[in-house]
Amino acid sequence: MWRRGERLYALLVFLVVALEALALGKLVLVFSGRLFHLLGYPQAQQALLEALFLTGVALILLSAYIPLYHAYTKTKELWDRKVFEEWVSRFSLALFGEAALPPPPWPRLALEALLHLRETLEGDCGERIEAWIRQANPRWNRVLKGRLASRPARLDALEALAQARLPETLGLILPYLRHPDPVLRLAAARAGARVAQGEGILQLGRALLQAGLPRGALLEILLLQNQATPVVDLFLREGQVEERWAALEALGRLKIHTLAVMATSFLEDPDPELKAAAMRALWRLGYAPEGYEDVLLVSLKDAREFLRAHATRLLALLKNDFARRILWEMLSDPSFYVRRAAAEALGTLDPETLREAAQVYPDPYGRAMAAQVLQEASWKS
Amino acid sequence: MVEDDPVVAKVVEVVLRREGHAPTLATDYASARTLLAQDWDAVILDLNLPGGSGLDLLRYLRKELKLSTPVLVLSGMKQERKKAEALALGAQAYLTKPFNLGELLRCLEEHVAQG
Repeated sequence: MWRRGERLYALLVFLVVALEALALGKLVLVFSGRLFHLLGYPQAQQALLEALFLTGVALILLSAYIPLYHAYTKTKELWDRKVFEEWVSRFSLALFGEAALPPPPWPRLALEALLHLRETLEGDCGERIEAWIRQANPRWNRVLKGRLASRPARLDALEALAQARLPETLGLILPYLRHPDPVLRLAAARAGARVAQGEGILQLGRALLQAGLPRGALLEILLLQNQATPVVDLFLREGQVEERWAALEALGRLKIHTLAVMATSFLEDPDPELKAAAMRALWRLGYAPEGYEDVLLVSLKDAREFLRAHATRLLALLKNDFARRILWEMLSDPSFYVRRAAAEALGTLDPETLREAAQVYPDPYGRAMAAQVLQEASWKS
Repeated sequence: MVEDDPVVAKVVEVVLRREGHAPTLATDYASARTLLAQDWDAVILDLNLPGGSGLDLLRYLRKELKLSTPVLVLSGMKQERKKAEALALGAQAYLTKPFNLGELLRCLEEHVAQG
């Protein structure tokens, strides 16, 4: 992909190479003529001087381009910032009725100022800015539906739609969730998360199920949404592994307590990543998986330490003798992370038992871990 | 006001001037730290600043300068942990962006009156 300024530089290099080729060609002809005594010495000297002059000019052009380009860019950036801030001032004054709203059409930087204001303000002011953005009637439609627009232009348009948060533009965004370019798909998903409202939230969720985005991207989209619960619910019911993993992660991080029961059903999932995500979600929610003790026991005996560590941490929420007894046993687990999780969970559930473990636990590593967690707790307090 | 985003700074400045206040702007950590030592009616504080954290400024104001100037945090960070940290350090209110100007003014007037 070409960056700004590179096209001009490429053209300049091409021009220099072409001029050098011409000069070299002329030199070959003149020197050949001289070799066969067809041309005199003055013509050869003149051709040589011309070639030298052209080479000098070419070198100066190439060397001067980069500092000139940087100077131009810097000046333009400063100018653009000044104009942008002037537009922010004008719109801000108009917002509070201290100046008349400049009549549209507004230049590009004015629209940028409006979009930034839209990102900054909500309430009455936010609604007025939303109306002004509609009044500006930006050409996003043309860029996103046209065939000739470049990838950067489409990305800019999607970013602008995300900033503008106009619900009616969701229809422009959703087709991009099926675009073959994954960068555009991700940008569209981010924009959709900001724009979708009401019924649009589930429309976006259904489109995301078909978008083939990786789990990390899906999680980011869920965290970006103002109302993620319907999409998390949809992903858990109808999604594949990627969507379900993202939904379980979001469920815990966004503290969606209404879906905690759904998360417990994934404690028995054959996919270890989903099982671990469900345990993390429940732990973040503080939801005790009562009735799932046998399922947790299976994870506690699993060969994969991340499953044992998550299951151990979750035991603390059960707050019963079963949990206390298992946590005591898990202090002798061969994994540092599991022992750590067991000691921390025991510290939450029953600090007295942890103190006892720090003194009399038969396994020296378990005893040391209990002592370390106790010491850290005393530092924190 | 300690704010590096020119859009937020301009909007808040316009509305504060309209309400009869005379805001002073610091756009980075170092200049804010210098200005904080002066006597202000209130401080509107962003958390992500060039050169440092707004929470460190709040800590400096309360623990080192030992000033009880009302502080309203205005930040893009929506995590509960950040909010709890700011309030524990002595901020009077924690507003997140995008924000409602009316709410900002109400908070400001309430805490300035209390101060």
